[in-house]
Amino acid sequence: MDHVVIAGLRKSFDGHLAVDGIDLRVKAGEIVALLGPSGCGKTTTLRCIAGLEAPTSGTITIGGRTVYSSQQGIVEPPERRGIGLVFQSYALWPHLTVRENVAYGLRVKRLPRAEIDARVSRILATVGLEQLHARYPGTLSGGQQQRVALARSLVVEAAVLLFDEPLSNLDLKLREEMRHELRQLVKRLGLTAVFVTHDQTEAMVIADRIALMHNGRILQEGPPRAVYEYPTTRFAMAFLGDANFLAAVPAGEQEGRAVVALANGQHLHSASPLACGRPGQPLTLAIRPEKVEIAGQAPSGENVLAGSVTEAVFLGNLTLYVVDCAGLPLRVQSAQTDFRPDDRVWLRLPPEWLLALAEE
Amino acid sequence: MELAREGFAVRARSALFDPAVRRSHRLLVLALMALVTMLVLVPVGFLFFGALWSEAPRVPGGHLTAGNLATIYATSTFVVPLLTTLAIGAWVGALSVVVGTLLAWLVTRTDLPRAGLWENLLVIPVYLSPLMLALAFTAMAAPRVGFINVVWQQLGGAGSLANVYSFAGIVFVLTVHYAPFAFLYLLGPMRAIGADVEEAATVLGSGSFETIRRILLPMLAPAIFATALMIFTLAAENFAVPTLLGRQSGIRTIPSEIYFWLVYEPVNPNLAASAGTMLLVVTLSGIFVYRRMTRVASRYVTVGGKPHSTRSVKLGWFRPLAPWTLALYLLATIGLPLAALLYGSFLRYISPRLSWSLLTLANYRQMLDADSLLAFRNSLVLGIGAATLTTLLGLIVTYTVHRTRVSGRGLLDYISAMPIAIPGMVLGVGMLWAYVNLPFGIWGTLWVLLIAYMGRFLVHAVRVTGNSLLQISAELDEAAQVLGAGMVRRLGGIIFPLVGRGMLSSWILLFIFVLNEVTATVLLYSSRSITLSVVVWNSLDMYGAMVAFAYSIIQTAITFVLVYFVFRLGGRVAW
Repeated sequence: MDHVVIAGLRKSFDGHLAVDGIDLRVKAGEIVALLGPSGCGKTTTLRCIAGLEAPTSGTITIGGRTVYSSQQGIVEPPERRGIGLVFQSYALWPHLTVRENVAYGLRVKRLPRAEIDARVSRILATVGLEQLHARYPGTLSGGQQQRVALARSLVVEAAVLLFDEPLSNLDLKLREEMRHELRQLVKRLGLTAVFVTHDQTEAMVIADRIALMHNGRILQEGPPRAVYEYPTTRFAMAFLGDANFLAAVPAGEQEGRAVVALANGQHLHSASPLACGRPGQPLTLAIRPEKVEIAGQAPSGENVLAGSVTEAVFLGNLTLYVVDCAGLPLRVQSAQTDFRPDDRVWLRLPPEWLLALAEE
Repeated sequence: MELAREGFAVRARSALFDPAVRRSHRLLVLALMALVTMLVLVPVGFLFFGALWSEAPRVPGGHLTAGNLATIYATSTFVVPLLTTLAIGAWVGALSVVVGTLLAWLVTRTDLPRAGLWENLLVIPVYLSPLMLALAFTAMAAPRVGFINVVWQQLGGAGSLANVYSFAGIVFVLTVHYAPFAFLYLLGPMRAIGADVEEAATVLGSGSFETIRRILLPMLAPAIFATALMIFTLAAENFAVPTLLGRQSGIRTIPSEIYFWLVYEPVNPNLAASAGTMLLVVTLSGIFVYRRMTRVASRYVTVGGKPHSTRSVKLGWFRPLAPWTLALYLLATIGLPLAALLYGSFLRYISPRLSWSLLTLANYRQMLDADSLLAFRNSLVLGIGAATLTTLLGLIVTYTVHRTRVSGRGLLDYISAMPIAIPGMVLGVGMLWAYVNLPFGIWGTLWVLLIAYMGRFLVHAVRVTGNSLLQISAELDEAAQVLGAGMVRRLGGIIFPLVGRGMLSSWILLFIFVLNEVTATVLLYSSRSITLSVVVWNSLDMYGAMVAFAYSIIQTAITFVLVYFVFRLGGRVAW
């Protein structure tokens, strides 16, 4: 069942389109990450879902109920959308204690005192803050404040949780811990979540599905692995990780796979259907450094390039090599540590990982 | 069946509720707009009505006429008051920015010792009422009997050394009051220019003075000019100082003419209203140019990232002398005049001799008569009432403008800021025309004064509460909204507590303003609604200068206590 449905969402600020036609479906119990660089419209989209921003056009449905529709003239205010929102700044009220902060949403609902106390205590225990319930937010660490903000959104048991870069104010170590914790918590409570972030690792850890945004549009959408391994655009390829880009032109077909010619004359095979292209029309091919195989002896098979190591950077678990293949520099990540600069090496670019990208 | 009906009810309610909510927000803006319009625009409308009407209010009959406006604008009778008003404004504006620029430069850009303390001290005259300053300088420099002149004669001098009842006296007293405003205005632009400006110039071999003249002043020119314009309008519309000090030497200004036409027989409210339109034209044109200038000014200022690093100019040999110079400045502008006022308030009568036997408490005993006690009570009631209501209204207006998306909020902001360009005298005359005929017996009551004060000072409440609201992230409000809290609940539970300090400092500021308001009050009070500031104003004629000094000291003492609390709260008058 689709829990949150966004269709044709547009939002313009003074004539500038911040969100330019977003369509997105979030299934019940699913975590979707809106991923993109700053200014791509991801936060604006989230604020439109929350009702804090009035869209210019489109429809938004939450739990089968239309909360915004430009055509039907429906604009539900945030307080009646049944959502929880965790802010980047946490937005904890400094004049209220942790307990009062968390209880606020329940008080607004006029629940009985005993029930409020019980639910607040339970959620504080869940996020591990029961000891700190009487403290004021100003006296807590960043991570603790983050948990209070989370508890405050969780306690009202809204079926949909929205996260606006909630981890970006934490230090790296804590951020990595909180990613796992956050995902487990949301999954355990069976909530639907939309998570805004500019950090691709964070999106891959937390989300079931990533919607990559650029210039107010969703560029690509899918499970983290699919988006990472099969980006369709140059932007997606570069944003989600390290990449080698190769300029080429189509040079026919062989055994159902495209053959392309590089600028240095070398021919390569690509399994990517886009690589067939139109004859004479330039193409962009890309391959991630960890997909390139490196060897000290010429391997058999296709797509083998000979070159020499120009740089070797030890990264701990891997080594990054820069290899010059007849004027074409390629980045390679490998578990092999024994090549040195000026060593003669052979690279294999597996056709299934040599992707042809659509130009934007 | 039961379920289905319930489902239907829920859907019907949510469909109904949504427009209802938006309608309630729109109603709020409409109500606010109506309220602010009543406070601000209605008096101005009635001013024009009065100017165009042939008879005084309450006189039956009457028709539209251009005669009164013609008398003011098309004959030579009003040329002198107009020119005098403009000249006072121009002199005070120019002198205030000279003093203000110098003081702001010392505090923000040099290694002046204890600059923070001086910054607070130099602002103090802003809070003292112009009427009080005029009285203090009367005690100080009235011809023959003023403190200075008495001492001068004791030393064997002939005649009077200083005469405050003169054009120069008026300009001096107003400059004492408004130079701190210029200082306050220019602190921001001065701080916004990074210290690297001076460092770069110094590296190139330019001296301090050369740097100021060639680089700092040109960069600040738009801000300085805008400040001069603002003070020009404030000084031009000032009523108390030119009227009190100019009376004896026959100096006439537009505000004083309006006052005399309304208060002294034969009264002529129509001519007063017509003259009011002229005063409004003067201030409106001043504010119009000011607005344009500030827009240019903000384009000029180079905002540096390190605001604390601007104080790079070394004063050198002047450094130990600088605090003494500032102390001397404060002594001459408020210390000695206040001392003279205090001394005068204990005198039996004015005498060229200085003697202990002249001292008495009789002037203060006057305060215990029924009229004065009533005035005291009225001032207190009005101060508390107007400060509370205006602060609340100001916060709601500022919240609507900054934190909601209701359409029409821009207009609301604009109207609530308009009183800056509406002189107190104009508001007073307009209020008189608007309320004198109302049937509910509201005329002559405290309500009229309350309405006048709310209209006159709303802009300050909007600015002060706005400054503190903008320091609070909008997300704090949105977080409550997402959790289901409506606007009233958010204002009460989140916004009020968080802007508490700002509201309190706005409240105290407004109390000070109300306590010291005399311009509109002298036109609108009655024997029932007399206030402390009116008593001070009238006591000069009724009981003589000594009693006026005593009243003024009481008023000043109250003001100082309140100013202390404003400083404690870290608040400041904001425009």
